[in-house]
Amino acid sequence: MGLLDKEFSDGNIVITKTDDLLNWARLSSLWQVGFGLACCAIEMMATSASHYDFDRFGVIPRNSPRQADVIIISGTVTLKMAQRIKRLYEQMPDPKYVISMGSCSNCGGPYWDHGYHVLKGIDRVIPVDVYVPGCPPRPEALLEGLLKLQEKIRNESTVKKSA
Amino acid sequence: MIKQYFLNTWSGIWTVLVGMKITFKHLFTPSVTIQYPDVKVELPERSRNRLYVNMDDCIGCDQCARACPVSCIEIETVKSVPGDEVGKTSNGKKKALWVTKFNIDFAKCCCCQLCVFPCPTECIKMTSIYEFSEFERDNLLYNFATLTPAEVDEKKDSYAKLEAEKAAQKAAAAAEPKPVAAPAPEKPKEESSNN
Repeated sequence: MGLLDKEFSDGNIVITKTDDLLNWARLSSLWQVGFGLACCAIEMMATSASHYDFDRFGVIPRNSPRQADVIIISGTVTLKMAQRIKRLYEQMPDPKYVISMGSCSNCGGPYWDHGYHVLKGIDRVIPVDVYVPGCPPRPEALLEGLLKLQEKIRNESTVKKSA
Repeated sequence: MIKQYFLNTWSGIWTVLVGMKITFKHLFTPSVTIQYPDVKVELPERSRNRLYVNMDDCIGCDQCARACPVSCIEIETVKSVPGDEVGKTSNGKKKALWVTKFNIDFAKCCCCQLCVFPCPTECIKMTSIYEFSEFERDNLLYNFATLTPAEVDEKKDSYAKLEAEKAAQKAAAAAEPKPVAAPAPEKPKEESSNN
């Protein structure tokens, strides 16, 4: 599973496939866009803080989308914000991943029926890799979503395009 | 002059020490990080997470769906025909409806627990599961109904048949009295009974 199981007995040489190496590098340093929208952002910040510690998984908030790999859509996406999110997403370099966190960004949440100003799901604007349900999700739920995303990246291939 | 120099140096060192005191203290406190995938904190009592529906007890009364503020619960029912054995709930109520569809969209659910209180049989309840993220949103639509599509069609057919039979009986009943009890059916009768 990990890259380092494949080392020779003296531990100085590691053999691997390019795919595995790239995937391993990508999944172990998922830098996220420092970006929050609503109440889910509070949970996201709690996940970054010391009790849950996103940094254990290599997730560091970056202040520029150009340095980031993953964007966590954490909260209600209003129609006005949707354009900005699309722009942020387009500014991120490939490979880029999206975690949709909470009911609001999954499908509009409490606003899906009557919210005249809310985008009914962020997947109408940008492709989503992992949907984390909850209103808001617990930090553990977000971490589980991130682990799921890492699992997805682990099985990616440079030849076959995914997402 | 030289005294001032040493005073400044000392105050520089001292203020750094004062500022770093808290940092030094934290060096010796135990770490607060919860090693999540291996260690999970216990949830608080009455925490609200994913819903579960015990379909054995559900009578299809639709009260949870009406209580839901985001309408994430979808229920469809078909009336049972005489002779059908729908079963009983655990508190002894006889069920009268086939629940053909009981969908909860957890992408919409806001875990408010408002659906749990009106349930007369206490069949919809909160579980302690909160980690169920998915790659596809459609997978968050949970289907709790136990009937297969074929069974649903069968129930619908048998109810439609019953309705048709009833309608036929009514039509027959409406058609029959005409030749027997002459043109005026209702009002004259009432008048005559009043008299």
